[in-house]
Amino acid sequence: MITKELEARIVRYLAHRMPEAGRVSVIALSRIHGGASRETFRVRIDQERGGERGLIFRRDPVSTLIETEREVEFAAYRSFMGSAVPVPGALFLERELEWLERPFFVMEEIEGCTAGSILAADPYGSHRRKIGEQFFTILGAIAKRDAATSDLARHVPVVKPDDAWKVELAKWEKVIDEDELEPQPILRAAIRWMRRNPPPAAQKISVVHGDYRTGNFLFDGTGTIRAVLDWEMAHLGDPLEDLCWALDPLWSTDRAHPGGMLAPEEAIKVWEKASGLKADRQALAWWTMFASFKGAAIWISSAKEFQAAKNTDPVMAFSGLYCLPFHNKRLADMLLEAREAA
Amino acid sequence: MKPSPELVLNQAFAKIAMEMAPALPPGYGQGSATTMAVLLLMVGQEFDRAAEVRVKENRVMRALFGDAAKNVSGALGQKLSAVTGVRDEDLTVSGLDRVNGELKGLLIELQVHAEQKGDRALELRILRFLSEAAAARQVQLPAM
Repeated sequence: MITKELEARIVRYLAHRMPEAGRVSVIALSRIHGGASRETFRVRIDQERGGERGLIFRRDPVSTLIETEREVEFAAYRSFMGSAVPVPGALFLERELEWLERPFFVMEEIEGCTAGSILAADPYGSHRRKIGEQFFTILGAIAKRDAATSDLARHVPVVKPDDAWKVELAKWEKVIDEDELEPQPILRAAIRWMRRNPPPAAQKISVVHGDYRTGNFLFDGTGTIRAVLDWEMAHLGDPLEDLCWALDPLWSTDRAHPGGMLAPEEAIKVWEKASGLKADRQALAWWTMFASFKGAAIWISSAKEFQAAKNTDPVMAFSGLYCLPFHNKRLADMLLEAREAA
Repeated sequence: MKPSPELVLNQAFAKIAMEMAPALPPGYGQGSATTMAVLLLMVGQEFDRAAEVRVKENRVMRALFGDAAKNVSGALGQKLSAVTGVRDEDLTVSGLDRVNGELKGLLIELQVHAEQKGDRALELRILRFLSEAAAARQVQLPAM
């Protein structure tokens, strides 16, 4: 809930953090829907020196959809500031509780933009192709960036090309072990299958966004992508992880066009051209199954949070009721197809 | 129960999604109201079918266990035999869920056994069941 107290706290914080702006007042303050991993507030301020300015505050929630470190997300944004990957300026990271009771970070607001919805039949309308080409070109640029020199590399574990799949599989298996509210035979079968049928080693270790999809970027009225958001699951790993996550059919009701953009084959070509990498078919098959598996693990976690009333954001319940059955079905079909073919 | 729970929930969805949420200022409140409306729609779908879906899954798993028990020895074989022929008595959704969870735990054990033994036919039978069961639990949403 937005209160006068929160507004006063933000004013106090900005006065402390931006003394060069002089007296600061809040013109408008609202919470943004989505982004259940953090509470996100849009803050319009008036500065005595500098005039009006839009800021975004991302505050740790009491409970979160994904247990992530804010430092990771902040470092991921900073890894791409000023690059071909559009991101909002990451301004301040605050770990102290005195300002907003929980840690948070502050970004520049990208104004005049909107995000697509995964429930929209055609989220981008006449801009579908233009946005789709940018979307996969930007993803290629993320894969192309030298991960070792990124800010992110100082905050996340280094991984070897042979180990990228093992690390990610173990990470999400642990989430299921800890959070499942009932036995999950499909997910357990998927884990065993993925261990028995490992993918080739990663061509390179890249920055992996971790949640690159419709809903997590902003575009303007001309169909130009202005910002890639929600980097809270960023890590170093196989760039095909991001590609297959972006191609998962959950991200649009138009299943033939993942995310409501390009057909998969076309998307892969755009990504290959931008990244300079090859999308090996065997590796794609593995990471495609992994994408649905990782999704299911996240939905299980969010369902548990809602069930335990730790986070009653309706998005958490939606994840358990809609997204988990979707990925369970998809995984079951992939496992059946693989066994029939063997 | 009339009006039927599904109808009540569908109407609540329509009221909130089409009338109340659009009247709210854009932002967290409006988005949450719309999501809550969608939750009502999903719960409405689940209400009518929940018991049937679980009873059917439990029946199919027990039949599968009964057939498999003929070829499985040891502790697993005993566990499979123990649930064969049992019928659901507690028909509340929570009661069915509890039994369903127990049976799915046993299904995981049987599937691991089939994979280790290379019993392709049993693996395929389990996977077909899982695919059909997963299809029956999916929720259909209108494009919004």
